[in-house]
Amino acid sequence: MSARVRLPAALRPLVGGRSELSVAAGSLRSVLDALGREAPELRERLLDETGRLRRHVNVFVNDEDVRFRELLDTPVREGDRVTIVPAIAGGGRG
Amino acid sequence: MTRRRIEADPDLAPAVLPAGVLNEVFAHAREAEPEECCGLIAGDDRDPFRRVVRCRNDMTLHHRRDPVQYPRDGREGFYMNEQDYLRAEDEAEARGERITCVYHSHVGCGAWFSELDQEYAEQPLFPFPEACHLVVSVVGGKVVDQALFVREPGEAGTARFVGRPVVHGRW
Repeated sequence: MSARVRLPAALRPLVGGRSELSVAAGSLRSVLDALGREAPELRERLLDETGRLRRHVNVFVNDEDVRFRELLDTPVREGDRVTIVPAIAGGGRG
Repeated sequence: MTRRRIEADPDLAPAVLPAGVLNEVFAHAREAEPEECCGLIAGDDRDPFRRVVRCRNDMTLHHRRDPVQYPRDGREGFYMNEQDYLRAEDEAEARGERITCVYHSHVGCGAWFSELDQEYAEQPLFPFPEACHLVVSVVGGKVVDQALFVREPGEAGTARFVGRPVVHGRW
């Protein structure tokens, strides 16, 4: 068994229009590496040049926000659901 | 990329939003003060501003956890709760609607489209690229200004946001 990754609409064209991919379980880092092998641009859209998650992007593992867990080291087990969610944010003073 | 805040252009014809929808957004903004509020408006081609969906502003939560990456709290910014907006999107689709507008408030400053507002709205993964953005300004418990920002084609294939004043329409 593997983990399921749900992609936001803007990333689907990079993987032939698919909204969901199956990848080997492991950690979030290994899941994103697997996505990068599927479509290198996909990894670039999610991680910055230092390898951190971009601040416009968030990831949930089974509805748990990885920022409140172990970020890229968050375990992803077989059968888990990984959801990639772009941020909606802003603010008045800047 | 260098950005400057965008103000509503007073020479443009005002956008007319349904009074009930606008009042619901104003109420949310007043209740959320001193923090910014945020939410979505769903509708369809016939009635694009039909339904207001309030979302939680998680900016203070993120600021407390990681003040380096999130240097401002909810008084100076909003970060829409992802579960809330995904649920709103699913509900809109189930009703045959779509998200047509993203709204938020500014507290103690104008109803402009700030540099940070633009940064997020222009990022390539932004989930509602076709939606407009409604910004309301709250000062001392009162909504004092509001503006609607729409992405319009610019020069050489670029896009830019243009702001219009907003007035109440019919209920």
